[in-house]
This record gives sequence, C-alpha cells and structure tokens, in this order.
Amino acid sequence: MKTTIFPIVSALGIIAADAAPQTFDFKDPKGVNHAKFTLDAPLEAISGVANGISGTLTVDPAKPEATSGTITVETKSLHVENPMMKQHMLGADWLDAEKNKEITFKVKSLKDYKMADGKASASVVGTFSLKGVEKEITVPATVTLLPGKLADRTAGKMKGDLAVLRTNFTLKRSDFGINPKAPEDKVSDEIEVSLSIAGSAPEK
Amino acid sequence: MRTLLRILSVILLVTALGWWWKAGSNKGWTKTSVQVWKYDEITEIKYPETVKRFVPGVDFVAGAAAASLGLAGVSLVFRKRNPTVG
Repeated sequence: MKTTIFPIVSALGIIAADAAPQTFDFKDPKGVNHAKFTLDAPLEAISGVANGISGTLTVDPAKPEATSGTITVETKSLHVENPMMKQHMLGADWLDAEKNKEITFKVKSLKDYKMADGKASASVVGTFSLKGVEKEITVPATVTLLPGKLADRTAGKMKGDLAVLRTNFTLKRSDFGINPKAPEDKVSDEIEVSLSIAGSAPEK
Repeated sequence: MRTLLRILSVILLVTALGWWWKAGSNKGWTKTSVQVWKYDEITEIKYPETVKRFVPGVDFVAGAAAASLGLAGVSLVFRKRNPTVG
C-alpha cells in the first residue's frame, strides 16, 4: 500500500497519504550520518566533517508541510585534519565548543515540495542555531524513503523504514559571530554545508 | 664536533624531506588523521571515516629546515682545529 502511493505524496511526505505520522530518528551508531563543511577563501581552503548527528523528524503524510523536528550536531564532533586548526576551530574565538555544545536546525515547516526523479524535494524552513545565535533560514532538501530497509541495516533485528535526507546550503560566518576579525582572504565568510543523513522509523 | 654537527644537519634535512616526499608530498599543513571515504550500500550515502595517520606537511619541512639551520649555526661556535705547526 505504502509503496504504491509514494509517488503521489510529496517531500518528506513520500509516505502513504493514509498512513499515520512517522517519526524518523537520526541517531546513527554506524557513523554514516555526517555534515561536510567547506570554507573556500582565496588564500586557503578549509574543509572538514562532523558526525555527531542526532535528532528526529516527524512527518504527517496528510500534512507534509507541517513536518517538524530538530537535527542536532555535537559541536565537538566537527573535525579537520590539522590538529592545531581543529583546536582553534573549537576554541573560544571560533565555535567556543565548551559553551556551545550543539549546533541545531529546528524544522518549522516545508514549502515547495515536489517529486522528481523518484525523490521528493522541498524547501525546509527552520531556525538554525550556532554559537548562541538563532537565525531563520530556508534550505533545499531531498528525501528518499526506503520502505522496509531498516531490517537490512540492523541485520533483521528491527523492522521499519529508512529516510535519507540530503541538503546543501551556505551560511555566513559573520552572521553567527564566528571570529568576525579573521581576514576573509584566509578564512572565507561563506561556509558551504552539505548534510547527508539517514533516519529510521521502527515499526510499532 | 664542527663536522659532526654539519653532517647531522644535512642528515636531518634529507630525512625530513625524504619522509615528506614518501608520505605524498603534502603541500598543506601536517595532519595527524586522514579521512577515508566509504559507501553505505543501503542508504547510498558516501561517508567519511577518520583514520589516525601522520602525514607531514609544509610546516614539518619548514621545522626540519629550521632545526637543520640551527645545527649548522651551532657548528660555527666550535673552532676549527688548528693545523699542527712544525
């Protein structure tokens, strides 16, 4: 039933129209979920990843535009390959990871959702919180639902669905007070973020 | 002593350059870990796995060059042995 109705329901609402709301949990013990970040300045390109991702998204197929939830990234999980750069990045002038333990995106709603090439896409509206600064942003996202694939991921221990969410967006370092004194020719003001995460909704 | 320090200086520089070159001549900063990209077949997500590995960078070469120069400089403190006269 679910599978046949998928294409006509949208965005995060690629779930059957008559199905109950589903909550996808993005806690990932396998370490697959990650965010990539790149700061491409004229003199230096900095890139890294973060994998301390958790959170949930609740999707009501009858009202996909009302999708809500929060995706959280543990600040200390941000990693760059140079140890000194990592120490600076997590330090007080930059992310101040001791005081700001989490980076969050609180999803408020969806808009412009549509299906294309078997994937649902939508603009996700929400509040991005970084270093104590909250800012409302809208980011494009695609979602692929994998019905029944949770069993494959857990070697048959759990039954349920998986949802894979992908998004790419750009933030401004200056908007969040991340070392505004740092010269932009060495550390770009623009932070390109790419998020690829899979959430699971076990059968109840 | 003078000669010994100069030989050590050259060995240090050559060893550092050789290590840097053999490790892939990384033109960025020194890394203590590298990312290996893997693929999750179920979700089709390519994801990074961090592996601990020391990869010397240009700062490592610069440090070795400075240490090498330092050794060569210290060697100047030692006097040349006077040739025996008569």
